[in-house]
Amino acid sequence: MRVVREQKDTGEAKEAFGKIYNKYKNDLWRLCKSICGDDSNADLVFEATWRKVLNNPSYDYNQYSVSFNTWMSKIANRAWLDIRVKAILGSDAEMPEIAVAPEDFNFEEADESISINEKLLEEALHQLSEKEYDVLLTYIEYDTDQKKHVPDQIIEALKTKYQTTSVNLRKIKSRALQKVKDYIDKRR
Amino acid sequence: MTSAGKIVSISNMNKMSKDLDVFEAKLGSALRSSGHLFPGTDSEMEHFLEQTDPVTLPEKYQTPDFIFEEDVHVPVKKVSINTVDFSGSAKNWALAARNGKNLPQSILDKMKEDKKRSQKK
Repeated sequence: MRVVREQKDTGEAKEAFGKIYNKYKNDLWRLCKSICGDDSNADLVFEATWRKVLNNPSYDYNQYSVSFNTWMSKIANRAWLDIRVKAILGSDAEMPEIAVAPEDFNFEEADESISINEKLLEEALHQLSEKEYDVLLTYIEYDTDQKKHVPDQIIEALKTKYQTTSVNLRKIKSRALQKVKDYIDKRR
Repeated sequence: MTSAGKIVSISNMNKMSKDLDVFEAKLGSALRSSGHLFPGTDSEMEHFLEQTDPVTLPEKYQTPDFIFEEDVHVPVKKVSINTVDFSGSAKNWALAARNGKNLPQSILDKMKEDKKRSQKK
């Protein structure tokens, strides 16, 4: 991507970017559609991700040893969080810098990582209310680097959305997690 | 509760808390592999692509033009709607006229047309 950004000739830069775009556009769109739900949200995340990939020098793929797809997925995730927070707190809401820093990547591929049966997972998630689902998944989105720190802006957005306190949010998250675990444990 | 009982109870709580942490990590990975959250590792991404069906990319995203179009459309300065169209050759004619050059009749006619068109807008 750095090569694309450093091209002096606009035509050549567009052509170089076009090759990358064509290779990964379908996978990114599939992700956006699956995760963001309706088309307008998927549109926003898809476009924001490509813009960050092209225009933001702090997103430098060459620094990381993950596939390009995964790298883009991380950027899309931050874009999605950004959009949701701004939708709740207003467009002036300052999100933490969303540069994809090296420590943000979890290079360790846990062997047991994908060990929950998908059908069971879907059933378990259906046990949750919309609020529980939203709170639990928002917290988990920030657990990728194992720091378990949800930025203040995200907490603020959730507090505003559900008219509750930080303490209650943590309780909702714990209760939802326990509910999913209990459901899965009983059916294993 | 005896002190031994308390220790056992705290130990159980710690174990439960640890179990929940382990479960949360597994759940996170499962969610990132099944299209609920964006994948964060290559294996989660591979799993997601294997498990989900491709979806049709909208026509507007078939090419990356939307990214470059936005860059072009960023207005440096807003102009009023009623100003003369300065796009393309009209701009050159206006410059030529300002420099006192004689313009051919065909160009003068074209400028009149442009002016009329812009007044209609």
